[in-house]
Amino acid sequence: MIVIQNLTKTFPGGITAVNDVSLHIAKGETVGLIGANGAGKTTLIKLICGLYLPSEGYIRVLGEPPFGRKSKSHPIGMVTGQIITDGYNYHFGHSSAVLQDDLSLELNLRLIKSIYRVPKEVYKRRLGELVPKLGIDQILHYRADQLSLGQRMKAEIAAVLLFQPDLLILDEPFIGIDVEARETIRNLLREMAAQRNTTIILTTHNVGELERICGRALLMDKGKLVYNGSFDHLKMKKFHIGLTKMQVVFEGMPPDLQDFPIERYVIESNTLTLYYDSSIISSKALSGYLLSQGKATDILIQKPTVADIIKEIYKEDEHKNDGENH
Amino acid sequence: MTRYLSFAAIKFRSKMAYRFDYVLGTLHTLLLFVVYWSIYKALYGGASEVDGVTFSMVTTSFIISLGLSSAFEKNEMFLQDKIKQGTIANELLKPVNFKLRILFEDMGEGSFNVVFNFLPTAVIASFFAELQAPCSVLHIPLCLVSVILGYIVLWEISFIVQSWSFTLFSVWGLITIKNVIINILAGAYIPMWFMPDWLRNAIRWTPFDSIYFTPVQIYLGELDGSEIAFHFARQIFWIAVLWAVGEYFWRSGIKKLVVQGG
Repeated sequence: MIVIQNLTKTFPGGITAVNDVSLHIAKGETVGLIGANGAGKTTLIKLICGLYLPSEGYIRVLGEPPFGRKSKSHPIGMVTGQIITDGYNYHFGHSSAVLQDDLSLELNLRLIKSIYRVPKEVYKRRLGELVPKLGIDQILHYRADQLSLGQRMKAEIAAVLLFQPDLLILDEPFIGIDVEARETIRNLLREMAAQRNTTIILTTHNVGELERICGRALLMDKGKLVYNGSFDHLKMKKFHIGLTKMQVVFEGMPPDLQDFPIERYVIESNTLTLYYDSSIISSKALSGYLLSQGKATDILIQKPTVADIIKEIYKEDEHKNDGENH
Repeated sequence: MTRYLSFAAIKFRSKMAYRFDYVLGTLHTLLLFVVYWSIYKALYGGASEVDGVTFSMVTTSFIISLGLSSAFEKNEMFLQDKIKQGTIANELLKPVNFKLRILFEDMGEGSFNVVFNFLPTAVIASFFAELQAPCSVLHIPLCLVSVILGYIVLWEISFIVQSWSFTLFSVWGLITIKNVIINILAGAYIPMWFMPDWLRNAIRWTPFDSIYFTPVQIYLGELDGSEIAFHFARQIFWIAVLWAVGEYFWRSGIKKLVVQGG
C-alpha cells in the first residue's frame, strides 16, 4: 500500500521536516502517527498524498509515485482537524478538507456523490446509515461554514465515509470533539477499516486516543521516525502510553503502596514517581491514600506527553548502546 | 463531464437558497442600467444619433454587456483564500481538474445571475428604454455563442490574475486594476464606437474586444457571415492563448507549493 524508503523533505531555507524515514504500511492497516508539534507529521502526510515533492528517497502509494498521480480510481481521503487561519491571521475555524464552505451540508454530500461517482443506491443506503449514527440530520441544510467544530468534524467524516477512499488520512481529527462524538467516529472508522479494508493513517499528539483504534504506532521526532511498532510493544517496554504519572514528594521513608496495582514506580531521593492506569486505580483514591499516610508533602499528577515518551525511547536506545559497548 | 456539470448545477441550487440576495442582485443590476441609461440620455440630449451611433444602439450594447458582466459576478478571491488557508491541498486530492471545476462552478453561479438578476432587468428595461431587436432570429443563437466565448475570455483573464496568489500576499489590488482596465478597454461602459481610432485599432490586437464588443456587433447585425466566423475564430484564439498562459501560471504555482510547502 505505502512503501517509503529513506524519504527526506527539505524546504528552502534548510528546514528538514522529514529526515530519512523508511516505513511500510500494508493494506487495511490502521496506523497512528504520533509526534509533538513540528515533528514532521503533516509533512510526511503531504508527501504520502503527493502534495509535496520529496527531496530525496523513494515513495510509492498504491503502487505509484504519489506526486502527479494520474490514476483517480483509488481516491485518497483527507480530513484535517487543525485550526487554521488565513493570511491575515483571522481565526478561520476548521479547515475545509472535504466540504465546501459555501454549500449546505446536503449539497456538499450530493457533490461528493457525483465527484466520486457513488452509485445512487449506495449513496442512499450509506446516507441512511451515517446520518442517524452521526446525528447530523438536524444540520443537513446548514452551510458548511456555519457548523460548529464538532458538527463540522462529524460532517467531514460523513463525507469521507460516503465515498470510502482506499486510503484515509485523518490529521488531528479529534480536536474540539466531545467524548461521545469521538466514540461514534472511532466506531465508524473501525467498521470501515474492517469492512472495506481501508488503510487509515491518524495523526495526533494525544497518544491515548490512538491506542483504541490503531494497530501500530509511528513516533516522529524532529523529522525522524523514532519508533515503528505495536502499541503493546510500546507498553511492554514500559513507555507508559495511556498511563498516568503521579509524582509524590515525601519526607522520611517512602510511603507504603499496599496492593495498588501500580504499573511501575521509581524512587529518586525524596521523590516517588508512579505510573498507573487511571481506569483501574482512581487518581483520587491513590492520592487520598498517599496523603493519609502523612508523608507526602507535594503531589503532581499528569498524563505523559509525547515528548516524555520520546525522551524515554531515546533513553532506552542509550541503554542498549551502553550494553553493546560493555 | 457529468462531474463538472454537477459542480455547476449544485452551485446554481445553492444560490437559490438566498432569496433576499437575489432580490438585491436584481435591484443592483437594474440600478446600474438606469444610471447608465440616464447618463447617455443626457449626453445625447435628444439627438437621434452621434457619429452615426444611435441612442438605442448604445443602450442595447450596454444591456448585452450588463448580461455578460452579471454572469461574471463571482468571487475572484477564491484561489487566494484556498491558498492562504492551505485547503488548496485538499482540493488537489479530488479526482477532478481544479481549473475546469472552478470554471463550471462559476458558470453555475453565472447562469443563476443571468436568470434571476439580468433577465428581470432586461424585461423591465424593455418597457422604458430604447432597446433594439436582434438583427434576425438567427443572430440570437450566434450572439449567445459569442457571449459564452466572451465569458470564457473574461474568466481566463481573471484566472491568470488570481494565480498570482501563489507569489503575492494579496491579489486584491491586481484584481481591482484588472477590472478597471477591462471595463474601460473592453467597452463595457464606453462603447467601442466612441473610442478614438488609434485606441480601437490597438484594442483590436488584444483579447479585450472579444469580450463585450463581439456579441454586441453580432446582435446588432454589424458583421456579415464571414466576419462573424472571423470573430468567433478570434475569440477561440484568445481563449486558447489565455488558457495556455493560465495553465503555465497555475502549474508553476503548484510546483512552488509542492517544493516549498504551502
